[in-house]
Amino acid sequence: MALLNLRADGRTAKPRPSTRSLSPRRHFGAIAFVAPALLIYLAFSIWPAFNTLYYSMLDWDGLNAAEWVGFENYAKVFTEPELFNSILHSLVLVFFFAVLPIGLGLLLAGLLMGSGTRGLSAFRVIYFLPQVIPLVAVGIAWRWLYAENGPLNEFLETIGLGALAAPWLAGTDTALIALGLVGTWGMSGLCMMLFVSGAQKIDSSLYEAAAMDGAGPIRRFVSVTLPGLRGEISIAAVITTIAALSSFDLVYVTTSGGPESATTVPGLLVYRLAFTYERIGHAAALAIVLTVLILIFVSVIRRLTKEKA
Amino acid sequence: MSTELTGKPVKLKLSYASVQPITPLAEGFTKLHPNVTFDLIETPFADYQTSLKLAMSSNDSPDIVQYSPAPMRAIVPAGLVLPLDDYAKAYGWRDQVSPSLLGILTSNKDATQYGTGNLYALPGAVQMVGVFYNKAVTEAAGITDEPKSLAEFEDDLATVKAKGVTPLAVPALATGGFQLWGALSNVMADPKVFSSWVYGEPGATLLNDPGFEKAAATVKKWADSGYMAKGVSAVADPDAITELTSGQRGYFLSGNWNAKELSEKLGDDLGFFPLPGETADQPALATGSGFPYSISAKSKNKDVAAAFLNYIISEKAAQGVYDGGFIPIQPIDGDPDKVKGEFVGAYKAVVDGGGITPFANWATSSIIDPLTAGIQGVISGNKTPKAFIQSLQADWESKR
Repeated sequence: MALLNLRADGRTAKPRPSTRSLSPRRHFGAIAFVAPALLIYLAFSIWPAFNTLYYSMLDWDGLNAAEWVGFENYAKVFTEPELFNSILHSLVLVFFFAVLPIGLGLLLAGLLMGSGTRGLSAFRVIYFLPQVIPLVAVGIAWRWLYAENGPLNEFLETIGLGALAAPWLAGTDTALIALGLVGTWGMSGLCMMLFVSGAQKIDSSLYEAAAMDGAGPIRRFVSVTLPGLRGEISIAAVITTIAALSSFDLVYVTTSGGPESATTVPGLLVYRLAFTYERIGHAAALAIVLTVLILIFVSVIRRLTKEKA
Repeated sequence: MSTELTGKPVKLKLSYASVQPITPLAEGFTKLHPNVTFDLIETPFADYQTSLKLAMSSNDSPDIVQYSPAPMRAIVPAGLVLPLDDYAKAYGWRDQVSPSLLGILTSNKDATQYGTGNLYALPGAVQMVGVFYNKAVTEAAGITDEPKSLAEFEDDLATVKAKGVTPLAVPALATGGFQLWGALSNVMADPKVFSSWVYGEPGATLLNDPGFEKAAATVKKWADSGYMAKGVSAVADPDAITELTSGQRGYFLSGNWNAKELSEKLGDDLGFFPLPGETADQPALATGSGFPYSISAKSKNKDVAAAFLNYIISEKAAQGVYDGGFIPIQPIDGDPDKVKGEFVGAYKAVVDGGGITPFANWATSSIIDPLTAGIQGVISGNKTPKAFIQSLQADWESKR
């Protein structure tokens, strides 16, 4: 699907060095090298993306004759409350998948930087572990953790907060937040990893100079580490925001969009519309809207975190 | 078309969803006719629904596929499923299978209405919804016999609840919530109204029979009485099975597709009864269907495939299906195994009584959403039973 390409795009981080112009012969050679990858990319990414755009203008069940309806499907995306709500839900997830993990990641990176390198790899493994586990397994494990008689509620009861215990994923007001926190848990380690490796590239003389000027650890973090991590923060924001907006597997196995459609996200509805409801046109239109939304988010993030020349 | 079986070697490609009685059926047929062998392709149920369309439109389509009403709404109008009426006449199928099983397998050419038009599939075994119970839990609460009426069942639920055990496992994350509503609707509303609604007969409506609303209100009442856990909207089917088998719950309304796993875990402690009627003399009925199989219009071995369909509904196939833990189409004599025997007994009571009623989620391709989310809303109190029924009717009408 078209959405997958964006991840690759989002990761092209550093500005490219200017290339010298090639002679025609060398130009031809370059194309020959690029061609196999380019053909695969055109056939399996670009062509399906344009096909999706075409499908989004059809009223089609996927098998029988299709009818051209123009932009009607797009109107439905914004007027059908369920489709529009799913977009709102995914914006809430952006906070839990991107904003919170970047904050937590910075905090963890700062703490790890302060304590030197002792035990650093152990912490890295522990915090990065959620990234290695397939989201389907993560979702099932968390459904169990959040269950009415699950470990989380048992823990609350043990510490005397039994009154707070609730079936977290079954409540319309708690389910989306509970899901979001799973994302926070998963993404924080990734952010921390990016930030720790980024911080190791910062020239240590900058820290020495700041220390000589009398800056404490917090001031050094804000004035030296943070600006030095600009590129990493940008990448982390792009990756996590895309993960939030295009989330599917975690929601699918944990709540299936429930209870009462409180956790539907566009990815889930695209799947349902296309394969269960047989409304290929609506599914394609929602997928395109989601793609545009992701592009907007990515552009804004890249602009905000761009280094001033 | 011919009902003569060829003597040449034939390999039939057969595609089906998981947990099926197809293995004993295929093996049994090959034993009778060694020249016919099968290439069985299994796909998990949810993926089966979504992949069937592609499989049947490909040039390499299977000869036989498991019929599933939802995706067939697109596949039948595209002419990819063979109408079986000529074979049915030649073999006399309509006399051999209960009409309440065949209804959902017939449809008009546009697949907008079931229970009319051509026959598109034959069932190889019966699936039926009823109440499983853990005898260790119910006997500990002092319950000695199965309830004869809904009021007795509610008393039993209250008795188990009084023992400190939440009585009912309800996996409302998926289909478990609305299946409870469907089972209660069977006994509280007119099953004919419900069938005609699911079949898509013009003008059918749930709004004029108060039984459907009453059934939803009963689900709500049971939730409020603590007969089900507060968080059922986050309980999936495997969780519910664990709840019943571990003794955390006493009862679990589900279908016999779970029977094998439940009886493996509970053994003699597993019991089963169809949800009783409001009065003890109300004829038994239950939500259910066959495990139906269709022939691809592209198949090169249509006659052989039809001979196989003729076999699966016959007495010759019954014992194998029964041994596999399913209810055969034709009755068999004697039931050495307790739980399997209870299914067959319950099925016989249902067929002799009120009959099999269709699953609510077959009414339209999108109705599963208002059903699942709607009953979750009824349980939480965010949706009134009346609004729930109205939303079902609205979805139904949007598809006509």
